[in-house]
Amino acid sequence: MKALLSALVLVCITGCVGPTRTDGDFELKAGNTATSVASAVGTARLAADAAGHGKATANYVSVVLGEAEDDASAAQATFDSYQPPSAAADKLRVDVDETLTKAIDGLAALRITARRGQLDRLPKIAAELGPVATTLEQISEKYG
Amino acid sequence: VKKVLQVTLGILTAIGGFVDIGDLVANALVGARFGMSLAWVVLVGVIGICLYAEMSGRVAAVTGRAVFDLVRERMGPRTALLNLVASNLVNILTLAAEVAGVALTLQLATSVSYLLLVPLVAFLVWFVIWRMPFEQMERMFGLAGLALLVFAVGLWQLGPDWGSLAHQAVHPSVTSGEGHPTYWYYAIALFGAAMTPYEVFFFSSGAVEEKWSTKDLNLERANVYIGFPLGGLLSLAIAATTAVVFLPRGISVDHLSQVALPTVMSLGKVGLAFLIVGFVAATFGAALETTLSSGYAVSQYLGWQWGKLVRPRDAARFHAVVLVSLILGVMLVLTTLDPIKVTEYSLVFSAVALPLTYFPILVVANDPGYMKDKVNSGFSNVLATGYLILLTVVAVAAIPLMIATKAGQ
Repeated sequence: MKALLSALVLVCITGCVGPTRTDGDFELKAGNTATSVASAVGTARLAADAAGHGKATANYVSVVLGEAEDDASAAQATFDSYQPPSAAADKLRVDVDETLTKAIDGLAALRITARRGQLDRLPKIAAELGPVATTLEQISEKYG
Repeated sequence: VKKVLQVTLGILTAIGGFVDIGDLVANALVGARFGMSLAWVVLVGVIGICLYAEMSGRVAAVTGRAVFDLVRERMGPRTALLNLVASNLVNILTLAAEVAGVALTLQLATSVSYLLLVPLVAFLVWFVIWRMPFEQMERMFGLAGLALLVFAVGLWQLGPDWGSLAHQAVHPSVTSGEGHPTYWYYAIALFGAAMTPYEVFFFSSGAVEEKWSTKDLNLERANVYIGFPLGGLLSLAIAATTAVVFLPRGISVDHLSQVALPTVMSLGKVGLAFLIVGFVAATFGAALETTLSSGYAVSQYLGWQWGKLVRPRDAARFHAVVLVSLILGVMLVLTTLDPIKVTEYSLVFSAVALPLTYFPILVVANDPGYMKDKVNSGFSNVLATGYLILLTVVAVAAIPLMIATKAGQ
């Protein structure tokens, strides 16, 4: 019975958010969050380009973009729930959060445009996400 | 055409088994994270499932009885009950994921939330099982599943560096940024996906439904040796498309919609249309397989009348189990659990249950009391014993690796 309970607790623990006791931990989490959001942005940009060039339907691309936005928002919400352990971590939190918000705003703009059926406008909006994507990749490489 | 139609059981089983919702996402995810460096697992899985599916089909053809029927008789009710409980738990998880998979595919076509579509999909699954003859069912979904060959066409159109893909496959290595435990976790998930227990239950029960006999052994082998390698080929094509498009860009795969994206980029709306037909066929086919497999396993264990060849009135308990399984699966999906996560877990739990499924098949296929002169050859036994050892190692390692890697994160 004890073994079963221990196994259950272990399985549950794997699904929990871990604590951030040091700046190193916090930086790693910032890097991982940036990696996740960069992935969502990358997916959205590919889908937007495909739709803009007449390769994808409005229904399909709006699902892809909606999921990308949801993923990025979930990643940001998780990151914001971490306790920054120091003043340096506070600054990192603000910087990363600013980039995440820009990315999510861009994804929301893509999703809204796609659901309005204005697919030809998507590549331009996707291109505007380029600098944000680059920043996310830099954060990911630096801390991830 | 007639010969193609004769192998639709194998094609349906393999497409349901190899490219169901779990495999579609797992293969794409693995391609995006590890390139083709886990291609060897698909190869090992194809050989393993061919070996054991051939055995289970041969047992069904020679004895006229399906696997579970004989497992209880040969291994005793207790061992068979353990097998039944383990495989049915995995089955319900997989069934839930497949029903969600059909709904997610319809969402791609309509942008209507998949949760609203789940009850409709479940009703259609039940209706097809209730009304559609077995042969018509396997032909319709098996052949429509061939639309997934569009992955191979899409890959070719992407113009990949074939040499690089081949190099990744032949010289497997862990990509930078990934750990060895994660690599092995996904190896186990892919292996579990290739050898999902419901494949042999469905294949052998389907053989009984099709009234195969010893005269049909060549047909049985054709089903196995065409169907399953085709499923494996599709798995590799899916992984290759994401390896080409997503891996260099650092994009990870979490959704069915992403699985389609590389093919949409290369083939446009026509490619998307083929994908949607193929996704529906594969996931709907797998939903039928898992639902029927639950009914087959329970009915065969308890000695009830079962199958689609008899009128529903004469197999009322079989159809009741089918309906209850479907309802349980739908309830699980409607909790709003992420269906992709459900399917990933089902692959790993499936790996845990593998020895319980395959050991009894090996025993029965070697019993001359059932098989007469059609028992396994020496070569088959050596290979099958090697696989059984591998299955046991995989079963033991699956849960610790799942915990250590936080389910592959």
